[in-house]
Amino acid sequence: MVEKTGEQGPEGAVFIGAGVELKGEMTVPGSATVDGRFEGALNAKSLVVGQTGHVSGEINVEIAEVRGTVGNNLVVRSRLVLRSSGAITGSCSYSKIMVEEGGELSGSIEKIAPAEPEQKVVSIQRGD
Amino acid sequence: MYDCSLITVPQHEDEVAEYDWENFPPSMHRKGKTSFCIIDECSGIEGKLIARTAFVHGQVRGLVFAEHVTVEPTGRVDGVIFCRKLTVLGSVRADVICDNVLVRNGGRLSAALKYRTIKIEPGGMVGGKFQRRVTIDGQASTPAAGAGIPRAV
Repeated sequence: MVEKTGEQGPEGAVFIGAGVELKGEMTVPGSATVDGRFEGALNAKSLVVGQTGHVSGEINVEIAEVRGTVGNNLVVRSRLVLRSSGAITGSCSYSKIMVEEGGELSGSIEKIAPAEPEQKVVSIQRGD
Repeated sequence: MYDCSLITVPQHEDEVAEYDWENFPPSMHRKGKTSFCIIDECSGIEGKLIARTAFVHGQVRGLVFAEHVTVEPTGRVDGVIFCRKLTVLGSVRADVICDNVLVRNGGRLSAALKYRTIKIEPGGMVGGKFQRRVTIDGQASTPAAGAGIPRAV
């Protein structure tokens, strides 16, 4: 018998629409899309900040794409993409970065070691 | 022939922001003509490098004051850079005030950087303290002028 464990189902996502303001703490296993305003602590696999979006606080994500504004502490463990309409102020850590012309990058910038790829656990049991 | 020693090197951020590059002596002197300076891979400079266009394949320790500066993959600059356009393919560890910055694949920029526009291509690496110079009605404004000014060496 061969059994695989560690496979994940659909990852939960959150969408904060334009005009919506949210303060607090969020842990998102999948993607967080912000077209409105979020302040607080955010842990997510991916973060997409739309042109009208504003995110500030302690942000820790694996990948991020920023078209709006992000303030305070942003930690991107893998790939950070700053589009031409985007702005990042405050401290920002990244593993890989790409900035389009027009994007604003202000504050303290630091490169960090790339995130290690997730290891899938595969257990094999031999039946009699 | 212009006398490099007569060129006034900007000492303050606002002086760089308002610098008239059209009348930058190395630019004026060779207007319309191709002129450039190459520091080759085996060469190093300690002191001031003033040029219209500088390609750095080797090493520069000190001040680079030029309209266009390209730090090539083998190049390294440590010190201060005042320029209009900076392209980084190699390594820069400096206080930088410029208009446009382009960090290309493999380029490393570790700087106290004041810029107008920045572009970082995939594979480029940056670090340090960055500040965007805001332009109002075409005039450069320097809200923090006087603070954290790199001094020319």
